[in-house]
Amino acid sequence: MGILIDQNSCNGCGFPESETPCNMACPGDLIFMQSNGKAEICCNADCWDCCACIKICPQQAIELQLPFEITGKEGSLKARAYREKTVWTARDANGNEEIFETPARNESSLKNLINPEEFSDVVDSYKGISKSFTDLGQGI
Amino acid sequence: MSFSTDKIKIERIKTDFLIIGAGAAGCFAAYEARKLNPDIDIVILEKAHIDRSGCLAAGINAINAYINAGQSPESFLEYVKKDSMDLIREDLVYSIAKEVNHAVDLLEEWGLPIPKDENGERYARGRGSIIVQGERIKPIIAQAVKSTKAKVLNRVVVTNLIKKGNKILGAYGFGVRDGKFYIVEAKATLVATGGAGGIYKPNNEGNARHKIWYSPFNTGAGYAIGIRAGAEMTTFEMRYVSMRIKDLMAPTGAVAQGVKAQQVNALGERYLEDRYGDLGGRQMPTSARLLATLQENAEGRGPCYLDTTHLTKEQAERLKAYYLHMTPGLTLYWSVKSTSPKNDPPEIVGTEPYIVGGHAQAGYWIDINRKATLENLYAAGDVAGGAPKKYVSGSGVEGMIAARDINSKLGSLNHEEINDHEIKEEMHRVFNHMNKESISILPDELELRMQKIMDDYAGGISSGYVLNEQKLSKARKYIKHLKEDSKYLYGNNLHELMKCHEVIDRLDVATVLIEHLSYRKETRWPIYQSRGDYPNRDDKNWLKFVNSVYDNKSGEVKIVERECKPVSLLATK
Ligand SMILES: Cc1cc2nc3c(=O)[nH]c(=O)nc-3n(C[C@H](O)[C@H](O)[C@H](O)COP(=O)(O)OP(=O)(O)OC[C@H]3O[C@@H](n4cnc5c(N)ncnc54)[C@H](O)[C@@H]3O)c2cc1C
Ligand code: SF4
Ligand code: SF4
Repeated sequence: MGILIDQNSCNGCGFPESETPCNMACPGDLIFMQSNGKAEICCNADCWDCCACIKICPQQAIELQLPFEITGKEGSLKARAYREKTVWTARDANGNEEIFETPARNESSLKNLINPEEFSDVVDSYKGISKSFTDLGQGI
Repeated sequence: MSFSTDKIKIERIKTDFLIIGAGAAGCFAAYEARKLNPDIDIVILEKAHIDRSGCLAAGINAINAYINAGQSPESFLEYVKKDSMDLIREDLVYSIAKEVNHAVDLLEEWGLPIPKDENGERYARGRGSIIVQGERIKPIIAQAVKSTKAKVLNRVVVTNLIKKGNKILGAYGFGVRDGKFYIVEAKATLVATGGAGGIYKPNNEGNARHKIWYSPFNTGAGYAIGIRAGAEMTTFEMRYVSMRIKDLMAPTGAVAQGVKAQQVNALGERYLEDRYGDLGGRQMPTSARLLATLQENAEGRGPCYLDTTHLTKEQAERLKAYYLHMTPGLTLYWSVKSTSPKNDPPEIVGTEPYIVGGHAQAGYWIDINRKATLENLYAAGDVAGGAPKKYVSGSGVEGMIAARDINSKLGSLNHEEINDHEIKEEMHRVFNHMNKESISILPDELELRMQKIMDDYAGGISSGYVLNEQKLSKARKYIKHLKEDSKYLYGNNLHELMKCHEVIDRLDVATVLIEHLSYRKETRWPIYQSRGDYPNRDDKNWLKFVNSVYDNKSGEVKIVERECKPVSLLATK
C-alpha cells in the first residue's frame, strides 16, 4: 500500500468549486475526486511514498502505510505542513506514537515578490518557531 | 467507445523561452532568465504540479555537489573524473563545479534551511556535500519561480518536440486534467524533465513496486522526445545503480557520510578494507563499493549493513528524524518496528539500473552552453549527458547556464510556421490510445513485460547487472516486438493515457540503451556497465564517448564515436 485516505475525515475541500490540495500535490497524478466529493487514490501500487498529499491535507485525512510485503506489520505516518515546520506522527501497530518536527523554511529574500496567498504548500501559517532538530548538523 | 480527435480542444501558445519540466534545472533556468531579462516571455510545461514534482517531491537532506572548505572546482573535477573512470566531459563538469556554491546560496536566500556550526559554516557531509533540511525544498524553489511571473502550466505532459529541418520550434503535450492538446511555439526550448526510472524490474514487487529510489514519475520523456527528434545522445551505457537501504530504497549518504557508518558484512567484518583493498579500500569509486557488497553476498557473507550501532541513542533518533526530509517511509519503517538505527542498522542492497545524467552521465550531447545538437534546443539537469554527480545544485547550475545563452541569442531567434499536417499527426499519435481496439494492452502490462526483458537480458538485478552480446541481442529483439505491440496500448482515461505515453517513452529509451550497451566492448564502469564477454577496462580503444542518433522513420540507432578531451586544467594549474 501507499496511502490511506480516511473517507470519514475527508471533507472534499470545496470540490468541485476548487482544486483540492491532495489532488494538486501528487507528483504522480494518483489522487482523484469521487462523485461523492471525497478524495481517493487510483492505484496504491503506484504511490512513491513522497507524503506530499499527507502534509497538505487540512483534515489530516491521509496517512502513509507501508506495504505488508515490506514490514509485515501495521503502522502509519501522518503529517501537517506549517509554514515554518512540519509536524509528523508515526504510529506502530500497538498505537504507540512518536512525534517529530522538521524545520521547513526560513524567510525568503523574495518574499516581497510573492503573494502570501501563494504559499500553497502550507496548511495554515504556524506562529511558533521550531526548536527541535535545528541542531541537526551536530553529530550527523 | 470510439474516440475522435475532433473533439479535442487545442491550446496554442507562443513564447520566447519554453522550459519542459519544472524541476531543479527548469526552475533555476526560469529564475536566471528573468533576472537577466525583465521582458523575456517564459512558459513552463510541467506534468505534475510545480510545488511537488520530480525528484524533489519528498524533499532532500543534503546538497551533494558542493565545494567545501579545502576543496576547489579543480579538486571536484578531479574527483568526478576518477570516480567515473576518466571518461567525462571535463568542460561540463568544471563549469558546474565553479557555480554549485552560488546555486546553494540562492537556495538559502529563497528560504531553504541549511544548518550551520558555531562559526557559521555549513556542515560538510563528506568532501563534496553539505547537510540541508530540505523537506520543503520543492515548494521553496517553486516560489522563486512564481516570483518571476513565468507562465507555469501544471499537469501538461509533453509528448514530442516540434521539429522543422534541424530546428526545434517548441513542443506538443496534453493536459492530463483538462484533456486539451497543447502546442507551444518557442524561440528556444530547454528540456529539463529529469532521468528515467522504471526501465528495469525494480527491487520490490506487487504493491511495493514503486518503492524505488528514483522518481517513478520521471519516465524518460525528455530523452524520448530528443531521441525521436534525432538529437545526439551520449553514454546511455553508463547506467546508474545505487547502493540503497533495503526495502525503502532510501539514499545512504546520511548514514555513510553523515554519521560515518562503515560497511560491514553479516560477520561484522569491515569488508571494504579487509578484502577489497585493491579496489581502493574506503576510497574506492562509488560503484566499486556496491560491487564489493554484491561479492560479499555471493560468497555467503551477507547481508551487509551500514553499521550504525555505535551511535548514541540521541544520534540514532536524530538520524531517524533526518530521513523525514527525504524518505519519510524509512522513518516509519523504524517506528513501525519500534526500533531505531541503533539496534536495527540499515541493510544495503543495489537498486535496479536507472538512466540518469545527474548521477551517471546518460543524456543529451550538449556544448558548454548546454545547447543540444539540434538548433534552438537545450538540455539541463538529469536529462543532460556527460557530467556525472551534478545532483540538485549542479542541475540548477546547468539550467542557469542554458538560460544565459538563450537570453543572449534571443534577438536572433524567431518563431516559424508549423505544418498543420504534423499537428494532426501528433494529435492522433497522442490520443489514439483512448480508442479501444480489438486487441488492447494496458500500460501496466506492457511496463511489466519491458521491465522483465530488461532485467533478464540487459543486465538487471537478477543477472547481477552483467551483460553479454547474446543476451543483449535477445533484449534488442524483444524490445522491438514490444514497440510494435505498443500501438495496442489502451488508456480509458487521461491518467491512463499518460501511462501509455510513459511506457512508449521508456521503450524508446530502452531501444537506445541496448545499442549503447552493445557497442562498448569493454567494462569501464563495473556494475553500471559490466560486460561478461569483455571484462576488462580498455583505455587504448575505449577512452571515448559512445553517442547515438536515432532515425524515427527507420527505427535505426546510428552510433557515433566522440573524442574525450581533457580541459587540461589540472595539468596547467
Ligand atoms: C530520492 C532522491 C533523493 C535525492 N537526494 C538528493 C540529495 O540529498 N542531494 C542532492 O543534491 N541531490 C539529490 N537527488 C538528486 C536530485 O534530486 C536530482 O539530481 C535533481 O532534482 C535533478 O533535477 P532535474 O531538474 O533534472 O529533474 P527533476 O528535479 O526531477 O525535475 C524534472 C521535472 O520534469 C517533469 N517532467 C517529467 N516528464 C515530463 C513531461 N513529459 N512533461 C512535462 N514535465 C515533465 C517532472 O514532473 C519534474 O518536475 C535525489 C534524487 C532522488 C530521486
Ligand atoms: S486534502 Fe484532505 S480533506 Fe481535502 S480533499 Fe484531499 S483528502 Fe479530502
Ligand atoms: S504519497 Fe506522494 S505519490 Fe503517494 S499519493 Fe501521496 S502525493 Fe501521491
